[in-house]
Amino acid sequence: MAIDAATLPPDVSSVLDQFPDFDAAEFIDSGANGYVLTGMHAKLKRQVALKIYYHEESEIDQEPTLIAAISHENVLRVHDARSLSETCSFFMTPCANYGDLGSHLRKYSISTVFAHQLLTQLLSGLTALHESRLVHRDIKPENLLVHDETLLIADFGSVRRVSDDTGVAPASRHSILYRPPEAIGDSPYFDFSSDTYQAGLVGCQLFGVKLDSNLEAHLTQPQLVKLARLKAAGDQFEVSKYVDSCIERRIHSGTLVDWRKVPFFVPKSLVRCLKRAVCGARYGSCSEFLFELQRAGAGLPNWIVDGESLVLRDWHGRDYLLSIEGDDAVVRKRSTGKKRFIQDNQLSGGGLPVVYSRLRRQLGIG
Amino acid sequence: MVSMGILLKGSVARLVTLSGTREGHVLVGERQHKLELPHNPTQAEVDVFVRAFKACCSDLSVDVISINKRATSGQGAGGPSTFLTEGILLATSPCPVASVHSATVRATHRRFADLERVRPTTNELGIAYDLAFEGLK
Repeated sequence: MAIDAATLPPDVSSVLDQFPDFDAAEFIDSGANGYVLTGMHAKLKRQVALKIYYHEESEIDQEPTLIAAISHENVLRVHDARSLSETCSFFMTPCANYGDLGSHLRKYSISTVFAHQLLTQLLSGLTALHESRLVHRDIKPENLLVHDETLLIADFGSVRRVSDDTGVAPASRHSILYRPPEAIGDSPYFDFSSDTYQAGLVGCQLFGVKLDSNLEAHLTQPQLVKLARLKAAGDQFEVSKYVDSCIERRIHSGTLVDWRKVPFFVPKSLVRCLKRAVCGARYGSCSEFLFELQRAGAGLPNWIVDGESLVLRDWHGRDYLLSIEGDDAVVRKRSTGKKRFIQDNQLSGGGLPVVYSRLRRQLGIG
Repeated sequence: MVSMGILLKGSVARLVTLSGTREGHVLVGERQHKLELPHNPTQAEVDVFVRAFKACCSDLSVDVISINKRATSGQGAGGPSTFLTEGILLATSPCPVASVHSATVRATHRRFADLERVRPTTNELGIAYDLAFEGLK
């Protein structure tokens, strides 16, 4: 075992006692209501994760039951589930080799085609949940896992069944940034389109828009001035109430996402699609969103940010590299699969947006 | 029951979904009316096409799908895009798919024209509607 069992909380040690075939490699205690252990299962011969979580004695222990009921390639599967005590349970799932999407996006840059693929996988997995009349209510990058090139919906702690009569479920109080407009106010609720809204926010981040988890970063200058006054008064409750109310206003007005920050190489059709997911006349279902996304993704150029450069991969058998050298942007190209790039003097020269639009015209990128 | 009619023409699939019976039915999922497979599609593009199609069937709880039957040769046989699109739909459909001949569609249309109250006015969606109507009991 790679971790010292003596340093683990007693409940975690009890779980390990029940699984002598499990060789724990990593202990994660960053979760809100439990722990995660990852490691090798000697019998299954694969990496697995054990999620140990606490719940109320009277609360129905629904999380593993819900996951087990859904069989979809983009929804995390459950291998085993047991109760440790009346307030503590655990279940075993496959392990995702790239961890959660939030940390994946912080560590790596992803290409437009891969981002499109992951978003369609997310919507596809959500369709499976909605088919069982379940709403996830907490779709955010931290609750999505990446395994190889597959996205997996995880963390089912806030999943609820939608009422057959009203078509809605009670609103969740999780992550204010991801709360849809209908989940804020006097009679908050959650429906299928709320999950679609959250998927839209994840989509924005996949295509390079940063959604700062520091709530104060979303405040305007006058709001920050008022916040400083409240902080000086020292009432912490009033401070967080004020920050929340500012975020809620942005959510209601559809200005939470700063569309000016969408990278210039993301096609307009895709941006329109994402805008419709999070503001205005929103998509009513995941399939509506998927239909639009499918149309917008046809012939999508595969751009990826590589450090300070921008690379267009495999566009009709050629790769293009855009980089800034001095005051000018330089374009280099090569046949896909070859090592060396050769400078293209016809396309080079001028600022990055100028060179980009020249390249677009020349290559016929939509 | 929920019946989906798909008119395949080239690489474009026109979709009309009906819920109810032949005597009384409504159009559902009117926004999901067109799916198009790009020419020379990549594996990723086919994957997205399949996901959109399956999600639509799941969201609308489709029970049965009717597709226009292609002629085996000559006019109306379709090109490679049609073969490809039809193959993908047949291989991935989550519910039973029936191929309906255009003559059957025309005959039903003549016989039950008075029941086809919500038939779309555009030609291609009209045919997709007739195909969906074939699937209704």
